Amino acid sequence: MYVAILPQLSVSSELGQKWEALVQANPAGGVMQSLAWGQFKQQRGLNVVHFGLFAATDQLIGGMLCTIPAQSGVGSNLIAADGPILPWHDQALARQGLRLLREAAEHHASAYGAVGLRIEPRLERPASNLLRDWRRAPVDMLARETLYLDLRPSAEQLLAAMKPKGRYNIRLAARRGVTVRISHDLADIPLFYRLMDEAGERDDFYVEPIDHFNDLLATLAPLGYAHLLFAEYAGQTLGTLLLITYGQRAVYQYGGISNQLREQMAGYALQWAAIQQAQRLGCTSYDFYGFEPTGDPHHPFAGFSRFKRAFGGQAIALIGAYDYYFTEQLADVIIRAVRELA
Amino acid sequence: MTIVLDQRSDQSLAVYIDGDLQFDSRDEGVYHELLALPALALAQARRPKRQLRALICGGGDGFVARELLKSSAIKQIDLVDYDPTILDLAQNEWPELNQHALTNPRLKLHICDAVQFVDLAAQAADEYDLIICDFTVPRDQAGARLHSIDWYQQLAYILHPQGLIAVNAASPSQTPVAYWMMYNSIRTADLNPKPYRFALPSFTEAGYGDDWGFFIGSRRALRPREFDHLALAEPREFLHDIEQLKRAFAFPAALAEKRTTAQPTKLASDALLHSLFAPTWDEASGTDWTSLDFVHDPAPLPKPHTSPTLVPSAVQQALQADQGLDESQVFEQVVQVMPALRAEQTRSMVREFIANPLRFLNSLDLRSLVEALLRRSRELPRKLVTELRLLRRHLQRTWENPQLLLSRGLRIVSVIALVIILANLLHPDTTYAKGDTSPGSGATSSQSMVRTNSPYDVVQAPPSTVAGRGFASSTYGRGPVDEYGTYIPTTRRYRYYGSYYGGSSYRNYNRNQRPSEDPNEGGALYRLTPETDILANGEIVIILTDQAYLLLADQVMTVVDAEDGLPIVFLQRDEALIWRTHRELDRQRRGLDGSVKAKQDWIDWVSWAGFVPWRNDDQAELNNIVQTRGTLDQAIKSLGSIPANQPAIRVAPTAGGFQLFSSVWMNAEGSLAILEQPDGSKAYLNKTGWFRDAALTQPLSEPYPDEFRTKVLVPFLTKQTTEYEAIKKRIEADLTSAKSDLSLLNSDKTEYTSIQTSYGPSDIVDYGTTEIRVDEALRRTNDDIARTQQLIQILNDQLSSLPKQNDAAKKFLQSLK
Repeated sequence: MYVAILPQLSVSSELGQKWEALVQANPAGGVMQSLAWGQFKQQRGLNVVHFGLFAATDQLIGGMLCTIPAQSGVGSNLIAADGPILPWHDQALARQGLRLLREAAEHHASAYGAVGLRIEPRLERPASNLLRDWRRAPVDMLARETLYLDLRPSAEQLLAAMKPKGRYNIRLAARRGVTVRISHDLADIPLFYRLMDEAGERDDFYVEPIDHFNDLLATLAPLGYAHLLFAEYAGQTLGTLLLITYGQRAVYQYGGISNQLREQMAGYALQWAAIQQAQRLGCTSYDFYGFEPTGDPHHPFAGFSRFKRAFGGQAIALIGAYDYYFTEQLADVIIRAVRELA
Repeated sequence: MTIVLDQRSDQSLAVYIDGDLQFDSRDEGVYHELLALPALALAQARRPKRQLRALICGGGDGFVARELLKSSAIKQIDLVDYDPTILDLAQNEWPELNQHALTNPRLKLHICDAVQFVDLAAQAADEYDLIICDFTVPRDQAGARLHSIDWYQQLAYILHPQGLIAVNAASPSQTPVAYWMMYNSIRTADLNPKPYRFALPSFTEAGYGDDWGFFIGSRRALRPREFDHLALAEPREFLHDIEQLKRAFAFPAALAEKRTTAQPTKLASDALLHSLFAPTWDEASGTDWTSLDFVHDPAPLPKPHTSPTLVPSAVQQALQADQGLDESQVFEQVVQVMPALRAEQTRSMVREFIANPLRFLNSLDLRSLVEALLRRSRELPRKLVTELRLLRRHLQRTWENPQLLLSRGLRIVSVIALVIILANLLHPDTTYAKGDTSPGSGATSSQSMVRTNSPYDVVQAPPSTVAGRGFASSTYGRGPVDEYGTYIPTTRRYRYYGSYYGGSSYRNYNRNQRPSEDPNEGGALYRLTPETDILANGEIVIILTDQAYLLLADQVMTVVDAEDGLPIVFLQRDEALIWRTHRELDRQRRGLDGSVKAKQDWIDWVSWAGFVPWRNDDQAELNNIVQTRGTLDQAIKSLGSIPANQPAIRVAPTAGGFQLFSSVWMNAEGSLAILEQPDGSKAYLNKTGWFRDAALTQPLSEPYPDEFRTKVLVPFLTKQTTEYEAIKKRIEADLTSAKSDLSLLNSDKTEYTSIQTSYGPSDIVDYGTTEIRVDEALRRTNDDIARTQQLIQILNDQLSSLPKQNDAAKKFLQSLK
């Protein structure tokens, strides 16, 4: 096995297709390892470093797509969210692969101004001992505790498996005339953003700048990976949702409901439309992206978890992000800092 | 680069580049007339007979060109913009707005980098009479160089000695340091800038500050009298006359004072970016300083900032000025002053992100780092080497809680934490990350107003100004607004009898005198805390259950039936609750005072300077804040006398009893509720009756308040027991997870131990993705075991400290149903 830094791959190239197939087939992988995501992050001013893991036969068998700020004068982390792509089920192989990837990252660290590597594969807890020399990161890039809905049953079966309140509110929204429009049009971004901003202000969460969403949609929508949903009622837009579909998994990444006409249950209409859209596109799992399973009323996820719980699904606890700092590079930066402070 | 066109229903157009508002067609005229016309008029006045050559750097939207082309003295314009997309849009999407300026024969387009263009012009000894810089506010180093001393020196080189330069800058009130840094860079390049500012509603709405600033300058310094008889090009829509223009040069003296310390920046410096990313909301007001009072600014010119720094200068200062503070206090100061490192970060976001430095220290192997640093001890100051040796000793003994490390007063620990924090803050994805990794989240306590044993202790400074739009005329009155101006949509409605609930009403009520009229009905006007609302008449209500709320007043507290607005029971005033509520009201009232002042100052300045579009909205918003502030006054008044000092924590009236909420208790056995009545006596209540004594032998003469059982106690206890269950489940889930980690660690330990026994301590084994000696693997595993055991201990403690109250509450609930 060996690791090589891959050039910027196009989705149509042979190696590009191979990579996409590996990511999509890997249950611990996700859209943030896709080439399109890399392209999106590049547009956001990040450097993208793609490490390929090859078998001795020169066949691509895994790897990781990392991002790092382009002007990292201070030293930052290479981050591989939704990755690395490794045969996690085979402990020995995964250990060897992860070791090679880590060593390659450390070897090239100085070239990218990196002081460490952060990974976040979608593996369920507890973390395997092959991460023993890694440390839990201070932040997780993905929602570590989440809710997966199995999309293989039919729409009727999904409805039947929901909590009565979820089923009722979905139907209530439909009866009251709330419709959902699916858009891939960049011109809808200001509307999407206005609703997100309103929700962010009300519910006290940070929303990325609007150009984040412009770049995201411009890159992912043409490939069929990103979808904007709008709940509409009597000429008004009551809510919005950004759905990412990639491989087997659909992710409800962002959503915001307007302060107006909340009794119309636009949130339920949006989720249901997103679930159906994900099914149509062949996804088998829907990630609600953040969920508190026990009903702890003081947990930061408490509010929206009550809402998500109504749709059924299974609570999932992922291992979260893990960091590995490159001691020598980190020592360099600390010595520089000490000199500045002297 | 992403460009978004937002065409509104009123046919106005707003254009965003990379998320930043470029212009809004409703008021772009204010901006472009102000940026271009004064410089144009001065250039013309200085060389009246000359045909002028102008250079526009940036400005691909065509609006500055439109303004310059109003003058026939303009012979030629070179417009340099690196972005073909914006030029294309300007010619095809809004040619009517820029009046086809970009296809005017007097204008020549250059699609290239402005720095290169100016370099070439300098080499060719080209000269311009007028240079206008209309760049977007820098978000990165490439943008920041267009405000560096080096850039302005190049411009000075191609500007005729009598020529004029006008520069789009930043908001003087929102980013004063950055604004004056730009000013001092232009000064250093000998372009003698004069600062001026104006109000732009669309920029304010987009959050860019209450004012916007420009500079106008020349190699030959401008004399104030040059402004006296300027002939501004026509037609003009917003800039009425010279007097209005002169007023734009006025600043609050305190704000202008900041120029004496703002460093000009060289090409490689990143200091301007740090200042731009860290808005400070300068609250200085007034118009007592104007740059039209002098020819050359007498203020000292600070030394240039030359190179990028790893540690932002504000943090450096905090770390250096640590006299008399211990290390943890120093670190707290660092957290307070840490600037944003990226355009999209806000100061509060950064502060929140690093509030818990332990999580950053936990993410690295401190022991190997200390060894690596000690190997390079020759590169470090002696004091830090001593600290590192001390730290190594601490770390060698056993795994040590980073909490202790931070409190040991070692500067090196702070520096390490700082570097890790900077590494995280630099990556744009981390501050928006979806989760954090604090363990055992079940222990969070509810910040309840009505429990004496969990006082509302987090006292923050009030916000300096309301940022939300809740006080704007479009939302105000539809639902409660909080101190940040956030409108909170809610379905909470109140029925109430206004002045009915005072002490005398309590006596009347007990004499069976009930109100005959209908109750008032309405939503709340203001949200004091998540569970406390202020009604339009200033009454303070605290939600107890869906069917009942607690109303605070000067002599008694009343539990009110939310359905009919009638009292269910009267309770003795809980002085601790009154004290907390008053503290909170007073704090938030001071916040609103600040907002009123800021808003009023702004309106005064805007109208004085003659920029008045959309002022009615501001006036309405101001009126609404003033009205709300008045309601808070009423609320404070409704509380009557306030204890001078914080009252002591109340003890249960029976041994082992639990407080349910203010003045209502439950006995340890879970068989009785104990109500503290307005006259100081107790009422003991169970499912069937209420009594004067705990033995339930002396029934009270007033009728049994069954609604207190059905609408207050049962739903209250139901919610409480459900919450306890959830918190318990949460901690148990965390505990299970920690225990499975521990069991994996223990099996690793067994394996390493047996390898060490069979092959000796130097045998090489897999430790995660590293290969190390087995004795070292064993040592690290023992550390991990210690760390996990500590977590398990914490979770177990949390679990056992979950009050026995839950059992009592469950039992009581059962008996009440």
